[in-house]
Amino acid sequence: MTSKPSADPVRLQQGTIYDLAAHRVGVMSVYEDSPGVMVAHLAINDPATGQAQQVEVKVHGDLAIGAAHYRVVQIVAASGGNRGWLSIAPVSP
Amino acid sequence: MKHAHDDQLSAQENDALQQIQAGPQGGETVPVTRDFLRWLNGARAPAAKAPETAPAANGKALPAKTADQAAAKEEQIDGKLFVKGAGDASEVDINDVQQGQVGDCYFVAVLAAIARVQPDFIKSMVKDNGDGTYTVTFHTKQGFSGLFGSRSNQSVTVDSKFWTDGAGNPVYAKKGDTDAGGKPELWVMVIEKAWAKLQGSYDDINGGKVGDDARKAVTGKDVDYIDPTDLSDAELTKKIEAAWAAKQPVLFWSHGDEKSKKLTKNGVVTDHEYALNGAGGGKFTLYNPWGSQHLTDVDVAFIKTNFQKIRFLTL
Repeated sequence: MTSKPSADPVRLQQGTIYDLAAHRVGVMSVYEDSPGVMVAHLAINDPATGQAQQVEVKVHGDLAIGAAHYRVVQIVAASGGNRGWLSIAPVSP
Repeated sequence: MKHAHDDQLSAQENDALQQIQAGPQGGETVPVTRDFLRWLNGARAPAAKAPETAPAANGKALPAKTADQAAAKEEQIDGKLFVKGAGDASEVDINDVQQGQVGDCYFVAVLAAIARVQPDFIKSMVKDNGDGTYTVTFHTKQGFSGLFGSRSNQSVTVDSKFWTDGAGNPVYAKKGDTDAGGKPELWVMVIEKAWAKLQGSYDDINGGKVGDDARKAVTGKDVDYIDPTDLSDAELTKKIEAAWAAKQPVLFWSHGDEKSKKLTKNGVVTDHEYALNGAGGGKFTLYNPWGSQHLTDVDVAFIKTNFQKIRFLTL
């Protein structure tokens, strides 16, 4: 059975860092990896342990932050002076 | 009717003449006629002393939150401007700076770079009024002279309310150290809030919308910058190390979209501002204002590959 988003998406802007699921989640980059394929790279830090990891996500992909799970809803490239961003929605198993 | 003073320039006209002749960049000379000065004098509103605090910065309301923080709550935070944390060289320390959920790296990185080499400058720009409010002094373009690039002091007073997640955790710049009594250090939050108030809202400071003005608004001085690829490795190493030795704040702006893939592999956040946090022996440590993902012991070849601009601030 496929899990579905359970709440409104959270929008994460490139170059900014967010507090999600007791972790610090920074958006390192958002770009078109190949024609039509957008990717975002996130740095996920656990302040409690000091552990950090870097992950690449694509649209419709899953993202685990600590014990929380998210689905990547949309990834949008930078344009017109606006930074790129992605939106993720919490999912319940 | 001819007035006695028609043949003499007023102090205001003299001021205008000097500024026009100097030009916005202080370089080119342009011809100025008395008729032009009279037109200028008549065309503008009656001269008035620039207010110390701009009207936009006088309101008591908390600067509006960004659209993506709709759930954020306004909360009073009882803290202290400065707290010396364990291992800190001084109360104002670079590790006090942790960016929050607004894209103002261009601003908080300036605070980080200054805090690292001249912490007393930070102390001089923010004052605890003793009544739960704080006053931050920026250097902004105001009034007539501001049209020509001149800057003057502008004070912004803010209170101790901040946008939080409802549990005391700020959603924008984070708290610094904590004192023995449990009170958090607030200077970064206070200065960022004053900046947001000056610009109108937290959304107005998002994403570098105010660009270079932020650096000048903090320092009051013009900013020197270079493209790192314009210098040889030896020249670039020497220049950064000299700035470090002279306690000059230095900022590094990473490349953007076209090189994102490469930068990401190198652990560099794209289109992001870092602050110099150490230099020596041809190696450099760059502080990420996120408070994490710093770049440690990188060389100038790494800097040339990943950064498009280096800014040297003058205080």
